[in-house]
Amino acid sequence: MFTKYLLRRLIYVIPTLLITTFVVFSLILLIPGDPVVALLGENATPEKIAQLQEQMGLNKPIIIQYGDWLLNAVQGDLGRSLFTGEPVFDAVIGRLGVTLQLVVISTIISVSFGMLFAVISVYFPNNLLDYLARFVSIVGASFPNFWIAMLLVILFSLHLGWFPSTGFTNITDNPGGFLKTVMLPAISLGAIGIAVITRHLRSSLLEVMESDYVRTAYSKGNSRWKAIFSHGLRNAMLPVVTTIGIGFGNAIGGTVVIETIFAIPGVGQLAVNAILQRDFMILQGVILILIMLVIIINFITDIIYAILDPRIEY
Amino acid sequence: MFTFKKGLIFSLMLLLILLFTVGCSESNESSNNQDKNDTEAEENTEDGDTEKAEAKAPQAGGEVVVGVAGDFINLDPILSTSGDDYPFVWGIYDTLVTYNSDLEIQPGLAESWEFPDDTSIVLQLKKGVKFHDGTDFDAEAVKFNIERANSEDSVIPDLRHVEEVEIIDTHTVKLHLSVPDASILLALTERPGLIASPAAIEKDGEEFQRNPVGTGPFKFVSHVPNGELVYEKNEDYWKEEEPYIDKLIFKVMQQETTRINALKSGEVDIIAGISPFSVDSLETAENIKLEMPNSSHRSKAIVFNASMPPFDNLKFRQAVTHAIDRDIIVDTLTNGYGEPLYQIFPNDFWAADPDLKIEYDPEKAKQLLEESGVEDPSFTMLISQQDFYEPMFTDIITEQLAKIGITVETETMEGTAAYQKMWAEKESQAMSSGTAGKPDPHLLMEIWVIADSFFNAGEQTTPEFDELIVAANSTNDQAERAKLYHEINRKQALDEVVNIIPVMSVPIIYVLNDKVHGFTANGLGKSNFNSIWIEE
Repeated sequence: MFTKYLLRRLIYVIPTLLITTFVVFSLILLIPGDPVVALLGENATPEKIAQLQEQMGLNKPIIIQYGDWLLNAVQGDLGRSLFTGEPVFDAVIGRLGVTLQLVVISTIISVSFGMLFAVISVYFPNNLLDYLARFVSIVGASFPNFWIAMLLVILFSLHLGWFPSTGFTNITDNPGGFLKTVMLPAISLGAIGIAVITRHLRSSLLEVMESDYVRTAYSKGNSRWKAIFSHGLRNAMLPVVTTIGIGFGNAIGGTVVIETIFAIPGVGQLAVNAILQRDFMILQGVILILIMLVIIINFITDIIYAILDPRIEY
Repeated sequence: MFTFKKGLIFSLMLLLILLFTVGCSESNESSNNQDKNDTEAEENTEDGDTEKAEAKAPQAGGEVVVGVAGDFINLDPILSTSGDDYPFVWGIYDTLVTYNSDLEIQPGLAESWEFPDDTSIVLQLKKGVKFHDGTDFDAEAVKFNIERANSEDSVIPDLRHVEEVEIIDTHTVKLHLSVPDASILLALTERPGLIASPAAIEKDGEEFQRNPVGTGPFKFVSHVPNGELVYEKNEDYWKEEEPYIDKLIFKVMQQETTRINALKSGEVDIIAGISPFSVDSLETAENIKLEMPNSSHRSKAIVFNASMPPFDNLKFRQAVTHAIDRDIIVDTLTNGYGEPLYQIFPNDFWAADPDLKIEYDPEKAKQLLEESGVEDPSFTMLISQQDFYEPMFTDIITEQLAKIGITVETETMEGTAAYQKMWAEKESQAMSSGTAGKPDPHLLMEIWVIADSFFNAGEQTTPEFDELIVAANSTNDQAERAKLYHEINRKQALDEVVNIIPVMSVPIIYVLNDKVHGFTANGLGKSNFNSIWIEE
């Protein structure tokens, strides 16, 4: 059954990819500002502009340009950056590792703290800890991530000097350095996730705690901790898994801002620069690979669903 | 359910946050003021300090990390199109001639030069210089590079008057020009004079830009686009002592706040592209010093299209330039670090006329406007989103022009889009623009003033003005050129008002860790880190 579901999903992917890449391609060529003009800068002359447009094929109709791109993309060639000449695939994959490390850590932070706060909240209803947990979740959801990022930098790198304020170390190069550099951006990025997961899981947990099987668990003599952890949490997590999956996708979007603040050379920064420079080859690559990533995450979410709830079939 | 108890606790918490925020901001302010006084005192002694430090012998070793606002466009001299690429290319390549921080010409790979006649330049090249790949630097390499700069693949326009490069002997070349062109020698201080290894170019082809090879003090090691660029010391550099440092690293940090934080926390040693209002907050930090050039060649100006009404009317253009109170703009926007600008060169540059000043005179402006006969005077001005001085700059201009009865509509666009609309499509009446400097005045004329330059959207000129520009570029006698440029400036800014209304010079500010020495900023903002050293 699952393979059939997988196949069906894969077939949906194709039109999604075609439509999104075409929309992105047309949008960046339709917005004012020609990549050639951006590229030539102070050395622009009408002749040079015409010559470069001809060389890059930018004077052809958009649909033809898209066709050319698609034909190459299908064969695995995503082209080269208009500016640096770097192959697009290398450029995106090189940065994707960085962004993924950041997003994974931020998701781990959101999930673990979100779960912690939700459980505390439910275990101590209307207690100070409950209010504190709910307060933190309101703060996380209400304050924009760049503001949280700036506060964290001021406190933890300028005053205390515990973490660097910029840069990124790959986990494979130096795990200690990785943890140091990833911590502040990951917390800034994960703050909203903590908030969303706390609130979502809290209400879902409260609902589950009222259900019959939890009452049965109590009547068997289980403690409240045991009832929450062994019986409540697993069932309450089900809707939250979707939230986490969506949150992961949002976090990838959030990296655009966070990577700029912390000067991390990831996909987000690559995309911003590509837009400013009208480097649509790079942008196409970024979009294509991010869409694939989101699709993969959706798969993983579905699989986790099946693990958490064996009743679910596809 | 929102009970009274819950509500109470919630309000208490809110109050707590409020108190916390207010408390924080207050303490910040007071410490700022205090520190400002401190640093003012410090500043007075700073010059003395720097001299003392410079008097120390430079130390070898160590690495320097520079925080820059953006990555380079291209490291291949013939493909680089941004003035912001220079800080990156200076390390890898030497130029044939070079300039010091006051933009005076100095020997580079060419030890000396002479002008046998109006249309030729003879360059004596330095002997014993090697490229990073071990090949020799000689006359062949110079010929190769200049011909490459003039080829189809190149975006460099400045050497188009070089007709032929003649090799006299292994270390002497003669440039034959098609017309007298005084700007060529100084053009060789920049992009057109960067000498790359012919062997590496022939070997690597298109890949050369990702593995650049020159004769410069640093060798290219690695580059992560929009991340970092790493250079290592060229042990065989022809200057005996330089470079002092073992490693030079550039880190791209787009946000100014990010760069400042990185400097404060010691992650970088030098930051560039600092705005005048950040200086106050930076001076409160310890172990930090400022570096600024004597005068800045970067400016803010109003650029217009003279083929469109109302800018096709001379009296109207003159009315606008007299209606701008430059002093107020400088005071408001540059925190005292900028200067009012009355011509396209900074006031102490040799090509600038020290006596040229455009008085703020609203009465005269009103009269000029009336004489112009423009009915219902108004225009639309483009603004680039990425411009630090916007929208304040245009707001002040709008208000000042309103005083004499000119209505300014503004249109804010993303930078590349604004640029395209103003100059490629020529569809806007005016734009609030920045201008960057060039080492030779004629090179600036080529970009901003002459009729067929790209940035002269209205192709505005007069035959007499054209003749003056050609004449000023036809002699190598600087005193004579200066005289002609004074005339040009007067026409450009006042008598004709050609293409640009200069308003203010934009401060170029670097902030350095105290242990960094040997760095001097030049007025073009094209930072050169080759002589830098670190005090241990």
